[in-house]
Amino acid sequence: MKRTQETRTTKKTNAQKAASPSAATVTPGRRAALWGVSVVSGLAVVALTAFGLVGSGVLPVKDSVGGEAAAAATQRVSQTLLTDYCPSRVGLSDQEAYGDSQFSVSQGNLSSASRFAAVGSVYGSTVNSVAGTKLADLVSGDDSLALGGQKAEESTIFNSTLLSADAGTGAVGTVASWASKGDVQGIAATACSSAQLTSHFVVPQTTTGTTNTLVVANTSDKPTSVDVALRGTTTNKALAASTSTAITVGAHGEKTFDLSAAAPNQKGLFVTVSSKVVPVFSTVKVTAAEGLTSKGVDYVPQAQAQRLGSSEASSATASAVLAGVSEHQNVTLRLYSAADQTLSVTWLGSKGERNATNASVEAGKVTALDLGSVPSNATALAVTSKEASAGVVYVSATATTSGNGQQDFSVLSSQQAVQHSGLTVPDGVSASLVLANPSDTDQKVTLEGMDGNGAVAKTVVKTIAAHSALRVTMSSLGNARTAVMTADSDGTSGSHAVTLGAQMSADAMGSTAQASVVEATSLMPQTAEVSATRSLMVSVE
Amino acid sequence: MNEKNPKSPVTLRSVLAESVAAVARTPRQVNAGVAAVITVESDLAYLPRTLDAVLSQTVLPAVLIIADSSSNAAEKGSAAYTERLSVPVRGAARNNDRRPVELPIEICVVPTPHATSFGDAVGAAISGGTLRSTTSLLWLLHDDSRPVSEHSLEMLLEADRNSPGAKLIGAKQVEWDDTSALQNVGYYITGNHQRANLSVDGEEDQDQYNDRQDVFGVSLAGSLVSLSTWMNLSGTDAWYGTFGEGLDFARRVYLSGGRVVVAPRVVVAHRRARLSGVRTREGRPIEADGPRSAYSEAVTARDKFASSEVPVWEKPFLWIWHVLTGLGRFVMNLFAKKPYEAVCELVAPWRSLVRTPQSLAAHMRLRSFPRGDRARFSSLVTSRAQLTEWRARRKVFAAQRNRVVFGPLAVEHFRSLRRRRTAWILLLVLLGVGMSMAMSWQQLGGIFSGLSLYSSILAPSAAGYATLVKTATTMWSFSSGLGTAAAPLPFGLVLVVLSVLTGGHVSLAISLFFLCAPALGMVSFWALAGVVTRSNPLRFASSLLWGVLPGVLGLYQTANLPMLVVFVFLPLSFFFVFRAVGMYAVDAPRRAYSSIQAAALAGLSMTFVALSEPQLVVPFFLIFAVFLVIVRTHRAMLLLMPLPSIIALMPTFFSVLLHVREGLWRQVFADATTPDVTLSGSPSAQSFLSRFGSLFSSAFGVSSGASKVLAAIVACGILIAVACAVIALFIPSGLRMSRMAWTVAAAGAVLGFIAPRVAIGLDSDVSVAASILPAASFLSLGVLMAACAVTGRNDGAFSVSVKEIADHRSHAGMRFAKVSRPLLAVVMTLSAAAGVGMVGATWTSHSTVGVMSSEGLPIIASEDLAENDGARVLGLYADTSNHIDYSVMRTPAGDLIDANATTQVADMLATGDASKGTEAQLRAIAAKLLASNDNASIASLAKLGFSGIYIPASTSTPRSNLAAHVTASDGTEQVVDNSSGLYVRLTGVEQGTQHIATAGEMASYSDPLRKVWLVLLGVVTLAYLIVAIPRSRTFVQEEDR
Repeated sequence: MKRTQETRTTKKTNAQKAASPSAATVTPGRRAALWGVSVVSGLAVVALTAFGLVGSGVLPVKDSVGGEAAAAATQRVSQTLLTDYCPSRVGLSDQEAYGDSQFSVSQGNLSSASRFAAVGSVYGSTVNSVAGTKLADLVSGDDSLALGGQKAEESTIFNSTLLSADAGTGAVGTVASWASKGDVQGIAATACSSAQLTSHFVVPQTTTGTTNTLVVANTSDKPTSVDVALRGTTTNKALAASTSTAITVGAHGEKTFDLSAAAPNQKGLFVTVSSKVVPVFSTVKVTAAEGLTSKGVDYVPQAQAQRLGSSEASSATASAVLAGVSEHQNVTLRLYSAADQTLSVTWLGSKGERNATNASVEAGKVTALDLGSVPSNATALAVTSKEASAGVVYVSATATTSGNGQQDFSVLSSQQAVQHSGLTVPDGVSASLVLANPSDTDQKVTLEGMDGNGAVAKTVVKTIAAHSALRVTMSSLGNARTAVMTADSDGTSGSHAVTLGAQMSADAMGSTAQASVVEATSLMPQTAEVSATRSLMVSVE
Repeated sequence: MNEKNPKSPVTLRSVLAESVAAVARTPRQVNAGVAAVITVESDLAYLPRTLDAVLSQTVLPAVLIIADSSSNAAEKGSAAYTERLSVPVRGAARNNDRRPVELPIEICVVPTPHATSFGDAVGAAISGGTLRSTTSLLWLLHDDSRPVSEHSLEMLLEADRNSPGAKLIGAKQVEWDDTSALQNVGYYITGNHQRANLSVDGEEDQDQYNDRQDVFGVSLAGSLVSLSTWMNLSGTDAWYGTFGEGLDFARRVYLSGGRVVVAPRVVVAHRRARLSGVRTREGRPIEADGPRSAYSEAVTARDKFASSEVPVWEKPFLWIWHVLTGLGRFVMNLFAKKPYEAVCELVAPWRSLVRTPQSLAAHMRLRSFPRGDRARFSSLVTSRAQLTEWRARRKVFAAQRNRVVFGPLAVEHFRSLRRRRTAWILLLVLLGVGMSMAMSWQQLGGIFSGLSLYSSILAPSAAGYATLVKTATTMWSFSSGLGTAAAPLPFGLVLVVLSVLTGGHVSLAISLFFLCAPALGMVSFWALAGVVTRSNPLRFASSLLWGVLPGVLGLYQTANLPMLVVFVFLPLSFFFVFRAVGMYAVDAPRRAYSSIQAAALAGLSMTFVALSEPQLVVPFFLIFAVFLVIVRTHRAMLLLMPLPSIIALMPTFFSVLLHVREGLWRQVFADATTPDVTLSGSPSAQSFLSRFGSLFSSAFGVSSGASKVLAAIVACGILIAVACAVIALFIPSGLRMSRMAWTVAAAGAVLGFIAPRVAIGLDSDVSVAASILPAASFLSLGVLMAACAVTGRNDGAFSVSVKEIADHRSHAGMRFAKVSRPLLAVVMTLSAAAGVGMVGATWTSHSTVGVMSSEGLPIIASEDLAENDGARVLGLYADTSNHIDYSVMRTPAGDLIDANATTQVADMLATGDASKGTEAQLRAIAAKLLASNDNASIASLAKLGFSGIYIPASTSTPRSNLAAHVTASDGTEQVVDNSSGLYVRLTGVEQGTQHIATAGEMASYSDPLRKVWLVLLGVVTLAYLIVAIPRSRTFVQEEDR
């Protein structure tokens, strides 16, 4: 019998199947089923895709994590180590005795004194030499740390360690020198200042007879190179200095630079001191003479940049205020701005404000304005801009007091109005405090006087009317050597910032004309909110 | 026959009855001395023909015993039964009626349910008293081995008479269907105790081996055995199994003094159902899932025989030899694209180790024979020369058989197709290269001078190869604190591989890949498009569109390297997936084949995709689930494809599993790029499309009138493509393919639904959602593929018949294709061109790609870093006075290799080192140094192990303040301050030995888990690579199994 040949079952490949699906051999019923499956599966994938693409409201789930780490990334960084530089007394740079003794220069009866105080939550303070040798510790008093009775023959470094960076905590120091005889008659006083990478000075004239000496101190372990850039009253371009403007300051060293020699015959000078490697301390000492007659001495404090403009958040900070002028003084105002500006200058006094002048300032150039003599009652100057947002202005003023032929002047630099500030007065010097309130609201101010041992002697509360200035003598604060100012201690609304300056006078000067102003040191904490994030891109940014 | 009539169940009884009924009444001889034994299992497909062949012999055995080992026999405990049959005797005296004398033949069916092998079943069948007293010879047959000639038994008996001392006489074995195809003509044995038939399986039988007589062994199927020998030797040894017992039996025949002889004139057609995998081990037929390999059993039989030969003291050496040869065979089999066989060979020595006691016992059984007799078969051991020649012949035969020969017309047709295709591809490559050149013209100089590429989201890299490898393989990351335990960034492994191509230059590898990405992506899509259409213009247009898409998505503008890797390797992965399962369009008259090589390549390319964007594991999972349903065969292949990806991503999965409660599962959604809120947005329940809209506008910004027109053209192109893709769903010729393409798109859409809802990191202080770009890549791939499928698969017919070609051309589908194809190609090309225009118009304003202006750190700082592994420099950058960026640098750049998804997510959740420990300390130090000089910070940096601080050059005031604060602090020494930045060394530490604490890293480095992972990764990758290596051209066409 013949049997059907059994054949090996050969599997169709997928390709063959795919090429001939639902081939002609399928029955109509199967074909319908196939079509059904095709349509259903086709619609299913399209529907799923469509849902994935547009379905947002169906499942309103979302991840809501993150943020803790981001919050942790923000750091509150406070400076708890304060280092201030207190310059040496103002004397003559060249004291060699030569020629006729009648014509040789002399420092006469030049005396100097310094006083240091640390208030608030301070752990400890020391006074060191620039080279780093410890000179003295501040003595802990009942309410603050204090050290007085020091001479100021050499520059000193005033270090304070804070327990916490709070408002009202800080260190203040003042040096003063005075002479009623010799070639540097008058008084010079300044507050100790902190180190900066870049600092600015608006210096009085560099005409013949005036010596402006920039002193740069470096207390770090590394030498640094310092550049001095100069702007004058004659041109709105940078001045080409007659001397080299690069100074190398060695580690723990001090260097001087003669600004008058570098840029002579300017009625004012805007000096920018910038250090490359480490922040440096700097100050300018000015001595003026006319022939054999002393025309005064003083320090030029650093000028702080003031952004003037009515759009500023606080009306207190929208003005540059110079506190510490008095009747009969002649005032010359010097302004420097990188942009053209129109400014108005007003006198502030116990009886309110009074317009002094309006001035337009040319960009890149120092503008010197002679304001004439100070009107009665006026104790401070305010520079404001009528424009909504104006550029940055650096302001200083010299207020000259004349005696019998001899003169002395004080150099005032504008400072930020702050809520907490303080100053201290060296032994042998008296001070009268000027509190200026350029803002539109009255300011209540608490003045705390502390004696030489650091104990509170007397507390006085004053109210300063808007747009006015107030004078309070140091003696009215008891036997105080240090004054700490707190604006708005009772918590009234508005911005609370007052500018404080102290006019200094040496007790042993007799009829010699003397003028010097010490600006209060801010006791506001140096705190910054800094966020730090890790990034792989540091090397390309 | 039985297959034709499925309604009546086929049973052994019915088969037998049918066969008996059909026995021819021609006069024959009946040999009372012979009993034939046929074993049978559940699979009765071959038995009828075997029975027919046996019952039509000219000399019939007096007894035919059927050993029924089927499961039926076991279940019902059915009893033996006998059928009788009488045949007229040839040449014998006639009886009274003048009719020939008839002799009865007994056909006994004996259930042997417990038989474990062929020999076992035979033994059980003859022990039941079924033999006659006259029986002296057994004719052994499998149910699937039939004597080809009617004279087979006659000739066997003749051989028996002519071979004195022969106790086992075998037959020549040929194929079941093709009796001219030889299987074997007796076996010889090699020096390694292995069987060698010295004939080529499948070669044509030209009686070339008919001079063989004495052989070492024969196949028991169709062999004639002396009953006394069978009894004396207690039959076969069931331990050797069906595949090995014949050889062992032959060996024992020799050892007992007998001869084993092959009778080449006796031909038995043998289906070898179990060996060729159409029958299960239990004896059931296999039909559903294709042939099943019996390689494992064959290997076992081979090893059992060899191991029984060696004495105890030789065993350890033999085992070591087996391990080595097993490895060799593993590699060879992988190379031959036979992974299952490879694994069998790899495992074989270990299985043989487990069998040691049994093999010792088997050896002892052999020892009972006199040793001297062994010398008798030494002449049957093959020589080396014989073996070499045999192997060569096998190779030549295989080469001949696998070659597909096309006619000269077809060859010419292919040649012209190839020429046209090459031209199109060249054009595509040229366009791609042109695009790259235009995009990175300004960076080219920097790139080729070795400077690192970067963008707003891609960190630069200046890492050495060794550092990269270590970072990519160690569960330790330096991206948080000074190192923390974390899964390595998966993308690191991609960089490791890419850098191999540039000789270990990591940054060059990054830049070159960026440059080549457009061209590579296009060529890769060209390959994929070829799966659904053979139309060159359509493949070209869709590839061009695919190459422009990354520009439209802003990937080129941001040098989004992980996504570019996806755009290059994703089409390639799917191309190989379709190739592997044999679902692809081909140029007629070629056929599509399934390919294990393509499966390995799919697994490898998929690994690149998964490592670059681990979130794509989600859609891959979905797609494989659906493909397993749609694809009918080769499911095991589909299941094996994701294996390398899974192993490569193991540390990430491990970390996810361990920290799933802490929310670290989110790391799966992150990649190597820096989270950017402007690109990815914050987590929101936003739809993919609206998220895509904002991404699109951020990629192109406020558009001018011209670019609005261009955008409209692109949008139109996309809409038309989507419409075509939808139509494709309902075209009958591409049902399966379009569903698979749409599955890819749908999986992408599902991912696109999830991704915008998951937060993966912080951009300054806002959390950033996972990117939708990976989802977009799947979506666009699926839609483009489906759109290409709309016009049908074949471009032209190949036929020698003009009529056929004309028929093909006039076919409705072809007519539709003829119109729709160019139209679609033009639309796609136009929108690609518009896309290029858009990218070009907004390039200068939106590209953030750049190269580092120098090699990062000043040289001296790089040298400091090179001094030891633990050396670190703190990089600081500030451009405002209230924010500082810092980086713990261990290479001269930021560095890309320090990107880490695990720590990125942990930092976002503030669960890791972020809120405490060294990270917080570093943060505070950086902030303090920006605010003021701080000696304490510098001191703590030195204590942490830093050797210096680097501040990149910049003119901003905060930067110079920062620099001054650092230099002014005690304990720092300014070393360099130049155009590449300021580098400050920390003094008071011993330069050169200063390092961060590396104990944690060391511990992770020598973690046994890491080693296990690496070994696993290495072995699997190597295995896939070996399988992926193309063989010589003769083997290109793989057998479709």
